[in-house]
Amino acid sequence: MVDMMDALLILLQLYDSNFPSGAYAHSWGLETYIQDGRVRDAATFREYLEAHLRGPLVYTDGFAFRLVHEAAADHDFERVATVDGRLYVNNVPQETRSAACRMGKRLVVIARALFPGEALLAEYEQGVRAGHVHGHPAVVYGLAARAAGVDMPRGLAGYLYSSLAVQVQNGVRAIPLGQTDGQKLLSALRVQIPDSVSRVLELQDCDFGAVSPGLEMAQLRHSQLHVRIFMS
Amino acid sequence: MELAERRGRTEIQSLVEEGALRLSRPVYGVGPDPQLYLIHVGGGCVEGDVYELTVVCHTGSRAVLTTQSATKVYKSPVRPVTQSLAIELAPGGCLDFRPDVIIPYEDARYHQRTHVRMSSSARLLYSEILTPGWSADGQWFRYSECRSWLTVWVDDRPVLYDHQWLCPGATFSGLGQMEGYTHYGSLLVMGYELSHPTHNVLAESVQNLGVQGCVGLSPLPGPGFMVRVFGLSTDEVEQVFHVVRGRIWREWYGAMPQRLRKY
Repeated sequence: MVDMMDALLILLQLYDSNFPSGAYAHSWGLETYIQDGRVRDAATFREYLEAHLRGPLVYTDGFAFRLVHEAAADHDFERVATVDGRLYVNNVPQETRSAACRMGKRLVVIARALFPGEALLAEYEQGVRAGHVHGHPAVVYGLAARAAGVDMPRGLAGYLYSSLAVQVQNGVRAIPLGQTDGQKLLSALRVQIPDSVSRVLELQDCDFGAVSPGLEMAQLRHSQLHVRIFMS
Repeated sequence: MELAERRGRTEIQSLVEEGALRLSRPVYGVGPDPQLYLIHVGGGCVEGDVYELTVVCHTGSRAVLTTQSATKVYKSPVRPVTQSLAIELAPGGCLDFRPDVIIPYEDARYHQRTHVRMSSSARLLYSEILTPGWSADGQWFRYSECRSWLTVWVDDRPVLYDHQWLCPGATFSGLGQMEGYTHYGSLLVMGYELSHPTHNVLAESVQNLGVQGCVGLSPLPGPGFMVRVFGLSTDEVEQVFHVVRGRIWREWYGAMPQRLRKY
């Protein structure tokens, strides 16, 4: 009972949208859509969030989370490092590539503090510091969820939820939308998370990192916007 | 196919052809490098077809490689048409690979795997353009799926793993996917360090073309960079590629890339 409650509380802490991951500074292409007028209200913002949940959150971040969680169960750091490397070379837009590294570097330090006895997190932090690995949030969250004793599908659902929650907050600030609209959107997205988790569970190695062309285009074009409040 | 440099000229050192893929005799004199045309002796790709192509550019050899016509992929509901391309570039080797567009027909499934191993002193231009395909009733995006995996290793270090997986469906034209555009192109340039000013210059000159599409650029580790284009016609995408290729050719060879005459 105590263990279960503890696992729940650790999940809440890791996936709290106030968790200092630095995600609030990145729009992952949203800012381009807002400036184009393509995302302008709750309905169009929902299209954007759904595209993320069906696309990169499944094929890239979600799949990477699963692979890392599985590798961690086997105490296999080589496999963890391989996922980290693939995430890096799969990320074509420079802004999102460095955003992921920056967040990963920051998160691994916090995760290390929360799970000081975890060998893989220690190795990942050292690797990031020495430049052997690049750093990515999906890797840190996968290792942390495993360290917390959270099973993979549940940990993955939490990771997808927290990724969406941060993006909803960013949208509420940038579009702007009311807080209630934001929460309604998050509820609508939340019920779609189990589908995305099932999809991740059935992916094969060759499915890794499938690009969503439109989202990537918005991320690529972000660096050319004249006014930017987000770093990506 | 192995290309080698001999007395300042790139020649075909060895060539093994089998099945439906052939290579034309190299065309000299239209530019600084020979042009090589890949010829598909059948009319197009049918279900279960497997194509394999290996191109080795030995030290200092340079070539422009293209296809004779579009890659037409016919109905292939069960077994996809697959194409594997391996490119090896030795130090100083340069390859400008510009195949014609891919036209997936109704119910077509196409898988393309491209693997590049190159030296950090080699240079590569690599483009691909996917059209909305062809169907009997004239509707676009009636193919089942088009997938492309592109990996690049520079000096035995992975620098790019690009995976495109286009499956037309309910949300395919919507936000995040094709967004109303019909043509999708990628141009990869490796062996070129894209500086911030050049990035801006390229972005601006592409904008000045006045195409209706969308263009995105990003530097890659390696070094290199990727250009992605959304357009409403093959011509639009090619115009963008021509501008980028022109800039790179001027810097690399002090020459303009020749437009390829076919048909």
